[in-house]
Amino acid sequence: MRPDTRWRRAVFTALLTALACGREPGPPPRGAADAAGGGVAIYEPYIPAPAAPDVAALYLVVRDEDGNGDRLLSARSDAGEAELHETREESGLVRMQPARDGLPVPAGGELRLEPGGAHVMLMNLTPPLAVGSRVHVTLEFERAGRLSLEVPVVAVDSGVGQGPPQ
Amino acid sequence: MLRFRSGRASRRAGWLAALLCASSLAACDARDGGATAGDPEAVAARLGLVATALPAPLPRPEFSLTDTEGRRYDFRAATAGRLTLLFFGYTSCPDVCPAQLGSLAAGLRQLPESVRDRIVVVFVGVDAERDKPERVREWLDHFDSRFVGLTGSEEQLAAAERAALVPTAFVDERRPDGSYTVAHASWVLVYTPDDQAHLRYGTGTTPTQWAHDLGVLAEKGWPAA
Repeated sequence: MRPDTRWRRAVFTALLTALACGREPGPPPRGAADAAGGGVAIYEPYIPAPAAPDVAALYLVVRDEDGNGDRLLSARSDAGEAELHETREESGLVRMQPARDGLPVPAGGELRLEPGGAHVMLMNLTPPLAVGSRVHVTLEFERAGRLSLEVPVVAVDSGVGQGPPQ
Repeated sequence: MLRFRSGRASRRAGWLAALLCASSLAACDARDGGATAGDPEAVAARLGLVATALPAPLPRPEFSLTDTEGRRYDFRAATAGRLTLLFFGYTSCPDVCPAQLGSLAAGLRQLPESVRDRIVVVFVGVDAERDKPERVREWLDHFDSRFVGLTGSEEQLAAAERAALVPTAFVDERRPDGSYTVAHASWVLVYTPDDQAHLRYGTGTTPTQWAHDLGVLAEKGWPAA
């Protein structure tokens, strides 16, 4: 590569980076929060109608509203036991393990619980969750304390790459 | 009861060694002739596939398990020459397995029936203790009643995983109440009519991506080198 080409490429890369940074708007605006308080807000909570009678996953987005960040410590539910879990892939295996130290909500950002990542695992469901029903869930945060919300059980075409169903 | 299977680490090491070996062979190929027509990555790119190309093809494996009707299912014989997807998972999996199967089912629904008919989806329930035929059937019907479900004893399941060259599943977390999660192979392997897998899919494949890739593979198969 000729030196002037290299230089031009460097300038181009720098410009692209600057443009990308300039466009960084933070989390996109969302509809109304399902619950809010203490500097965090919960958006788009849903439970895909489970295929198994006894286990399900709950997904949602926690947005930091006051710029201080927080940590989701635990979840409770009237539908069964609830536990924070993380799924990860290593050496060709999928492993799902309890998030014992909770899940961080980054300052000014979002904690996303979504398929294939972190989620609230619901176990020992009684009775099985039916589409259209709602589950009462209480989330406990390190700073914000407790937030309660009603989470809909929805039929989903797909859990991957589509976000919550509309 | 599903236990930590003995020799799991060594089996996984063997699996990794096989893959490494395959990758180094592929690397030699590439050095000899650059990206040749048979280079799986180049073929996948040419076909516009989102799949990850395997460094070297894996043969359609030979193993026998029990289907959800309680019959013996010889994987190689039952699927030979057909476009086949092979999943390993478990029915008490709340997150990845339903998301993956749901996504695949949605992708298949986007395909014309004549194309859909040519694709076989086989799910192996690796949780010998809980994945009983009836439960697997009910679970799969939630996604697509045409999905084939297989189960077996711990030994039979381990043999199937070995044959397919994927890591052996094991109990990952056992809770005080006795419930547990299972670590299982994350890849979905796709066998083309040449009876080899050249491609694998990860956990995040979307319905549109499934529909695209399976449509292409159903039409063209895997081009001969």
